[in-house]
Amino acid sequence: MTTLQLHNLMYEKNHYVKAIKACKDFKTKYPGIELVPEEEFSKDAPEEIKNPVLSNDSTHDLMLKRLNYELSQRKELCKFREKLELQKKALQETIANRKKFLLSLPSHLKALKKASLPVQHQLGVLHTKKLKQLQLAELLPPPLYVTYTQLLAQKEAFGENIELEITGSVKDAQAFARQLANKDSVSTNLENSKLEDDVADEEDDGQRRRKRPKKVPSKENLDQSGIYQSHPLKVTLHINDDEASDLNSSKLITLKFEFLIKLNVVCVGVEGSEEVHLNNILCNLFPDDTGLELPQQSAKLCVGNSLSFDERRTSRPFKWAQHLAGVDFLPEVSPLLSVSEESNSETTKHPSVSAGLSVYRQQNRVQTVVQRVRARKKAQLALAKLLDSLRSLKWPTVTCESVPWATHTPRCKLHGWLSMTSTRNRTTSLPVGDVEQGRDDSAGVDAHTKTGMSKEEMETTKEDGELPSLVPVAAGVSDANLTPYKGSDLEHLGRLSLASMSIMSPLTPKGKSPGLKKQEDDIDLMLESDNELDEPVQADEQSDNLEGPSVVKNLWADYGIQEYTLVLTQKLAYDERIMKLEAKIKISLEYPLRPPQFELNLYNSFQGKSFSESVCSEFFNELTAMEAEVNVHLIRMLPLEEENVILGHQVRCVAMLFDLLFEDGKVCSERRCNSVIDVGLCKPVRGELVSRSFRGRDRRKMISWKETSCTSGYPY
Amino acid sequence: MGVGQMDCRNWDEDLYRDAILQERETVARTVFRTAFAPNPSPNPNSDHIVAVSSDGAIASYSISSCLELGCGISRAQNWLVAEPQFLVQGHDGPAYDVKFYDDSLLLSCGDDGRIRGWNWKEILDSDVSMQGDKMKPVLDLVNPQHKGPWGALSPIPENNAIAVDSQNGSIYAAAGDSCAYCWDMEKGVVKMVLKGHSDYLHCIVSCSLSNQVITGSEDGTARIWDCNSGKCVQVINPKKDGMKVSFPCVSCIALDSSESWLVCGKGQSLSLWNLPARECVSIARTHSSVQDVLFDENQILAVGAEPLLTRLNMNGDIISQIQCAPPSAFSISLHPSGVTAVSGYGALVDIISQFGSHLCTFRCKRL
Repeated sequence: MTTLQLHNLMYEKNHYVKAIKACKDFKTKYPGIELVPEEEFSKDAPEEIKNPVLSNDSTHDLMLKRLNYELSQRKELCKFREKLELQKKALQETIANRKKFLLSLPSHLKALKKASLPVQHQLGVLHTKKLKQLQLAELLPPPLYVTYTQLLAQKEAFGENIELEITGSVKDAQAFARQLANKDSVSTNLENSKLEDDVADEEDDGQRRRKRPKKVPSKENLDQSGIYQSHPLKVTLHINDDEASDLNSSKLITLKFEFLIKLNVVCVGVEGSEEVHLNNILCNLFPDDTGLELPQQSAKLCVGNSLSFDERRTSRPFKWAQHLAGVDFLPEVSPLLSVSEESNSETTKHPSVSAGLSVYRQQNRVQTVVQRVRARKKAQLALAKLLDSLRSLKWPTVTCESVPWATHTPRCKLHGWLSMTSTRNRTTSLPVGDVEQGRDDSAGVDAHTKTGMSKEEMETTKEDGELPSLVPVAAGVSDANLTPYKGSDLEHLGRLSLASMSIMSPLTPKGKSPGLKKQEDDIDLMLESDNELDEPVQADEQSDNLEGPSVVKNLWADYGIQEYTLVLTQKLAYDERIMKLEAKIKISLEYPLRPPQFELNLYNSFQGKSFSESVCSEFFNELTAMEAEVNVHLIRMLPLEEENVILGHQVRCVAMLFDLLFEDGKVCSERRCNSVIDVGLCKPVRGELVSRSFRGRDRRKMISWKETSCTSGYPY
Repeated sequence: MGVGQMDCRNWDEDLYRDAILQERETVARTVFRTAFAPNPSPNPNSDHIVAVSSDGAIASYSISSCLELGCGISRAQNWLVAEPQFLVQGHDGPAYDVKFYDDSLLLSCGDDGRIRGWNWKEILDSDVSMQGDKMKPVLDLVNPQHKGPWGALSPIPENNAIAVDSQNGSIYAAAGDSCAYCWDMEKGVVKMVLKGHSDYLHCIVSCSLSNQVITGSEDGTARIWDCNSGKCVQVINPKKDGMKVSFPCVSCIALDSSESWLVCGKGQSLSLWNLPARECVSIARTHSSVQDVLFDENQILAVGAEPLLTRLNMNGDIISQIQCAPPSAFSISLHPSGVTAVSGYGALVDIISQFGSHLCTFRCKRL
């Protein structure tokens, strides 16, 4: 029984021990929980947690309190987090909304842009166009890029009255650029294509808007294959009058710059003119720049056999165009490389190029060229006006009052005005540009017919008795030109042009050859001795010409020269003679910088007779004096602003001099004495002054003028 | 830098315009007289030639250096401009005549009515770098002006020609006021005024043997003056030869070395006079008006307003005509060796050998 009791007790004891052990082994969560430190707790905890006593054990009590505090704190934080979550959700919603708006914005903007185009156009704020042009500019080859940017800079910085435009197919340009890029890298391609998408987009817009027909002229395609292959983009420059205030009437001239890829030259042509004649306006803008010669050595090598540029092309590689394009400082590598290598704006950052550009700006190239083109065009317009009035046989009006001939009313008659479309000039220039044999032949034939024509013309005029003096000279020209053509049709072109050059020269020293010709008829002896003397000299001449730099110099100045013949007649008061003054006028392209040159001849004819004889030799000194007066001294007298109507002044001046040549009904000189009587004085005033009409060994005529009229002789 | 090389990088419009005009001016000048410098050696190549031109320049060129330029009657208007050994602005306006006085003094006269003397030795010694700006004339004579009413003065009459009489120490000037002035070289004053012509004088020569001067005038007559009395001895009026002459002035006269023959160029005719007999021996017609004439032994050389040098015999027949460079020739000068220099319009000087071939042709340099 006791054992049983013991067992029970033992069991009970074990149980208790186990329970105690279990209690003792109980693990609190406390170590895993990070509690606020005690000092902080005692400081921050609210009273309701600190005050009630939860346990007898103080440490336990403290612990419990701390745990409670922790609990309450955590609960608060959880609440706060929930709040934040809500806020976040709301924000995300607004963000999504705004994103949606933004996504829809571009299309809206595009619509706006499109809608604004008419307004932009109306207001003259061509923002869109400008942007597009700038994008296009990136595709330009470097020389055209320099031209474009510098012109643009001039326009924007100095208010130069010009307008710029890049024309041409963007797609072609991109295709061209890609073609170059393919050789190099793929990376740029990506960029390009991105850019291209944009631009293509724009282009589509443009096409939809303007419905511009795509130009596919077959001729251009042909050109593309040859050495004259040009870059698809071109720069168009409109130059406006800087004086006119009205916008519409002020447009002077439109130039088109293009870049020949193979030759690495920039060519310029006048827009809207297919004729070479009109294009000549750009020739010799600066000395020795006819645009027929390729400006760079490398280009010359490239062309090889034919040294000069095709004359029939409307745009030519003028030197000034190269200077404008900065070809002289751009690295002279093949454009095939330079275009693809880097974008244009990067190219210009290259140190040597930027140095070149600063020099470029210091030299005022853009301003100089634009001013020259403007001046040239204005001069040509003024000249055309003068020529019109002369063609209708009216005296050109001269407004300047400070010169004597302006107020002098000519007594002589303006009898004739002929345009001598110079056969000489054409025949020399024709063969220059030809490259192929076939063309050459046709040109030769052309020249033949032309010279033949001119000869016929001359003969008809001879029958009229109109211009007999011209006949021997002109016939001489055509004859001389014919012979070398037959001989050297197949020969090298360089020689051909030289040959025709040398033919011209022997004619010139015989300025007054009609007189000479007569002489030759009279005196056989002289003719013989002359020929003997002349022949060996002429043989030398060719070699002389080959070296003579001055001959070459004259050639460019003579390019595109226009020749006219002015005939003035005057009936003499004292006999039946009619004096006829014939002026051959050469107007160079450089008009008015190089003033027209007059060459005078004088003829004598009797009324009722068609026959007239040259009296040049009798009046040689007078004629040369008149020539010098008109060709040189007059120009020094004229104020600069009258420059463009210089031809009018010259014609009026010749007329005045011609009038005075036969004034007083006498050719010979006359002396007049000025004596004075002082009326009412007992003693007469003594002394006299003799006035004279001629002076010096060359019997120069003196002319004096007061206010409105001039008389021969001095003093008066 | 040549003006022709200008482009838009260094453009100077005024400079270019001026260059074109200067180029034309150069061609429009006239050389009115050339004179061979006296030289004891007979070789013409070591000589100098002095040219005076319408811009008032007096220039001396060394003939040997000019010969290198070659002749270029064929070179059209592109005659080379010769580099002068000496160049000075001698006169305002054209200079018309130049003569040597006693081998040491160079006399020039011109449109400004002055006669200026230049030291020839100094000219020869001057190097090229020191151009004539610093050169001052050793002699400067001005023609008197005429008095008008209330003290008005006439313009200074020009000197168209001078003649030298070194034995008497005097020079004669053919002036524009229809008088000839005789200047005393020692004192620099007018010794004598020869009055009688009715229009201005073109030319003057002096005959040292008979102590006379002969003048040719615009009025169409030539007069022989006695230098002692200053009186006109004879009026020579070359006949018009039946044809209409538009320029009746006596533009040039020449004496032969024996001073017994006188040739007188009047308009388009040449008349030959025997001075002792005082009669006209022959008259030759020329195609253009005669502008200078000269005796070469017993032949006459004449130039006129055409590019020809004509050689005539004493009967007035043309022996030869040689093409020369200046389209209108104003002067012939003869070197003792027989070389002639023809000069005239275009500022051209053409030097022709005794055989008629061109030795050289050059254009005078402008100031």
